Amino acid sequence: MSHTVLVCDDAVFMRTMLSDILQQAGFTIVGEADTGTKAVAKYKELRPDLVTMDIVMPDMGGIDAVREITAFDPQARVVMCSAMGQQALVVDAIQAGAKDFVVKPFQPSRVLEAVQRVLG
Amino acid sequence: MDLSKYVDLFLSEGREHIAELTGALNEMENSPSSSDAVAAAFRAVHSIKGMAAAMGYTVVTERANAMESALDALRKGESQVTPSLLAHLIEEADDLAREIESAATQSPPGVAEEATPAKVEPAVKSTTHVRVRASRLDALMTLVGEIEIARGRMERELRRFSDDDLSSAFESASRLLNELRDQVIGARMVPVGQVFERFPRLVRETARSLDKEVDFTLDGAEIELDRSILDRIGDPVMHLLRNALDHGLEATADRERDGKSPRGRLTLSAQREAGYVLIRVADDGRGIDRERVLARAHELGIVGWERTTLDDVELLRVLAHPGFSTASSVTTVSGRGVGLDVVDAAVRVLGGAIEIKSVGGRGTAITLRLPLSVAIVRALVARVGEELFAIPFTHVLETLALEPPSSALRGDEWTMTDIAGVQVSVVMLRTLFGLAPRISEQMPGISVLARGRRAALVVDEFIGQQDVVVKRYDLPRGGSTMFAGATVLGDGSPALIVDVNSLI
Repeated sequence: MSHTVLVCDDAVFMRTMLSDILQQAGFTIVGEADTGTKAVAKYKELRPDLVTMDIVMPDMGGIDAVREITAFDPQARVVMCSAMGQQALVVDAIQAGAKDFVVKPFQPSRVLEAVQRVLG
Repeated sequence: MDLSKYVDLFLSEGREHIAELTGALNEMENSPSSSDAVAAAFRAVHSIKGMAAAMGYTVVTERANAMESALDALRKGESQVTPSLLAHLIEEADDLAREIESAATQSPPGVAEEATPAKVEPAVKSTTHVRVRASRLDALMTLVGEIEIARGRMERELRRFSDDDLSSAFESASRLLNELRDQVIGARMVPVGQVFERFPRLVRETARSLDKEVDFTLDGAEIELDRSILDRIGDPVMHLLRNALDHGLEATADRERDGKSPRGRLTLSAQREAGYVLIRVADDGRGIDRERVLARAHELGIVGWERTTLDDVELLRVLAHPGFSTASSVTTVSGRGVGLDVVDAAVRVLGGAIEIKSVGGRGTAITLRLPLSVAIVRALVARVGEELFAIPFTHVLETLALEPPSSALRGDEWTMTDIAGVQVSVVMLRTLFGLAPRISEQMPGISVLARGRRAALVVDEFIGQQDVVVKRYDLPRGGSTMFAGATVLGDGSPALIVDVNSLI
């Protein structure tokens, strides 16, 4: 059975592109979220195998969302998707419980590599 | 990965983010203290940046990134919403919107090379801007330069006829050519903000790493400069900013001890002045330690021991002396001396000049005086020996007839002369170019000003003044640095362009 993924990003464009990359590699996208709050709610509802999380999102940022998700489920596997220039935030994200990160613009191979590693 | 299927999505979502951005900027205008508006604007450009980067639209990415930096500083409270900043952001947002449209509508890279040029369709809304490859603008400029040369030649040939109709036809063609040149130069101009926008972030990060508190101001981002010049001053300006932060501005504790505001002030400004653009980096730091610089200059033999003080002009000469600042013992004390020779060289290549003003305890300002356009300069053409030389008007004050002292007529050295009551040094170009000196009672002289110093250049004959097209050439290593390039005159003969800076 293929792994399930929740894709969180405030840009439809980014969600679409990420979903395409992941679907082509055999993953099942079970949900999308465009704010941190929705990401946390969807996680609790869908319990996906993996979450991709943008850092900058309205209402609740990605780092806070990771913190809430890992508080709810310490086993949660979250890969951060950060834009260039946010390397400093990546450290915060890892401390908040994220397992890995990829930097936009995405290299499909890099995304899959990070995802595979996190799913281990 | 095939990106073409994402173009429509990029465009439609990009437009949404632009709408959000514009809305947020309006909100900021109404209530400048609204942190929600700033955050919304930041998110919008951030999203655009990410999407554009994914699509490989570098122009959009860079523009969004620059805006993001400015908004990030606001978001973190590192800078304040001012009317001028807001006006700038709104303008940037408009440009960003246009860039998004044109990035998305342009054919994928590679195909664009063969895009039909200038297909004008009045029905299309956004024909106010057309993307043109920079190389095409360069080619236009070169062509205009070549036509200028041909015009000069035609002008000479026409002198053989005295035909009023012919002359007036030439006159009107000539006027049109001037206009064409101005238009082409204008098309190559870009606002300095395009390069300067990355500096606020750089300053912030550098200040943070040095543990200094700095208020950075950027003025005149809208001032325009030839793209090819702008491309080449980014690094020198960055260098000056780093120096100001590192060596010019004091540590917070030192500033407080000296009764200064704990936050240092650093300003990067651009302004138009006649045919030039002045780029200035000014700080309110400790100023350059002239005594230390002088001591080092004495040691290195750059300045004679008889000099006990350095004025601003001397200071620049010493700091810009090649290798002065590489002496490691000086770098920590010389204030702004570090690498100024590199900046000086970069500016000189562009036909510009550096000026420096430093007041102990009050700060240092370094100004880069740059020509608006690098490709064509107005120059005085003079003959020395059998050769013609062009001396750019950037440095020419006046031409005059010089009276050598009687001792020089007897074959002695002629080193100084009096111009309007001021003693200035004399540079005999014949001697400099390896020709035997030839001195008569009246010598054609050119009063020049470079690096704040005046001098009189002595030539054999004035030929006239004209616009010359500067052709850069790569100097052979170790070759003469007296020339800034070469040009072709109206009659087709080549002439070297004298780098006046190097003669003084």
